[in-house]
Amino acid sequence: MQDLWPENITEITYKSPLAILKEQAKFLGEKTNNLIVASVGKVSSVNQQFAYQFYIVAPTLDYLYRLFSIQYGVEPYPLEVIMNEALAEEMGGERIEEREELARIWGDNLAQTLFGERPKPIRYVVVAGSEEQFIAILQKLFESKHTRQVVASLLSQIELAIS
Amino acid sequence: MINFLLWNIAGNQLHRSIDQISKDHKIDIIILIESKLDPAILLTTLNRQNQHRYFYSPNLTCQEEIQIFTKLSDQDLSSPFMEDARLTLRKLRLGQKEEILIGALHMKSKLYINSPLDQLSHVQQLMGIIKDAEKRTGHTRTILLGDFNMDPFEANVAHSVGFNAVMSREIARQKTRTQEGGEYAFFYNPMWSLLGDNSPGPPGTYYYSNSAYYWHTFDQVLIRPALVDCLGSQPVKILDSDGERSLLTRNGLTSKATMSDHLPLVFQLDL
Repeated sequence: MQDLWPENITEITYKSPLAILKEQAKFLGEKTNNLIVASVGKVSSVNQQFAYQFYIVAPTLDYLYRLFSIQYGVEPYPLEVIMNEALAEEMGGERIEEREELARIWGDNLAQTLFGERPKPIRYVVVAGSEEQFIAILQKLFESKHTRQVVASLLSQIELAIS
Repeated sequence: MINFLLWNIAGNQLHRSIDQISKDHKIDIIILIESKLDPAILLTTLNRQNQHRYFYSPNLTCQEEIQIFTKLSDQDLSSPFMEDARLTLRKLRLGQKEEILIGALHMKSKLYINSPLDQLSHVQQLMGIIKDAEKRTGHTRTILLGDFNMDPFEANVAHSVGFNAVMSREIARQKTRTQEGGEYAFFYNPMWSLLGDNSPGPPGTYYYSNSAYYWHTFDQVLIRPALVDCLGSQPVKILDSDGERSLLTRNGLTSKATMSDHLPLVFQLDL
């Protein structure tokens, strides 16, 4: 029987989102003399998706802060970045698609049925359609005021703890 | 025995009621949600007769208005060791007793989210943090409490891919359930016993006249099986009075205008 598998079946043609996150986590440690580092934790998820949390870590304080999460399927893109409101507000919307399909699933609007009011949506899930978009989103996340505040706040706590 | 008070005070200045409840119920850990209180002023009220010595245990970066006050020292109740914008996790260790994890959270209101799927997504992110915390500490003696903005019977609270919080201690004691190839650790949700008119207190913790159910039990305490035996037979109480004044309107409802639109919970853990 002829082998139907291509020779390059094991060849990986892209960097996985997890590898990208891990690389970025390493860079934060280098920038802060390892006073603040970042780590990536796996989330068990539904729908056979890969899901990871991105933490800002202050080892001296034995402290972790979840900055955002990502989830993706067998194909890494589109990939969802899930943030808190503070980050979501800063992330705005340009370059980032709304999860319109979820609005459709909302359908007759459970909130309206339960509460009689229309929900005021907060965009805290953004979608990256490609590796380039994911990197652009990460850059914006790391540059955000919220991330800077978290890092600054932890650095000042560390200073207090070691002084 | 550790006594807890959990109360979403809806941004109101309820120093006197918090003080009264804390005294009457000998509260060791006060967890306030949607609190804009000046911690120094509340501490002055709580400690004014010098009978108690409460401390403020601030969050590090959790931005949500969750405030924790305690009579326990910081050797007993740790400063936060893991947080999210809406969750703060502390370790509680009393002397030589086994450590437990306490997670206080405030989830988004349904009025401000896109869909139940977004809410589920948020639940899963929080559960990810809790599982990471349990992995880090090497145990599952965890208690999760706060304003969930969901009722105990909602899928995102009860379903295995949500908080997996069940109504029966016996089921919770089975520790996990397996579904579609995944193994999910249970929480026991004692709030089920406090739904509706058979509850010894009010029918819920939050009243909203434009909703299908009118009364909701958004304020909840979820307990991992390892701690179920630390609860008494009527473990959680919904208070409708601070001991001196009613927390309800003349019609027996909650109101933000008079007190808070949420009622407080008190409960004990025998550690």
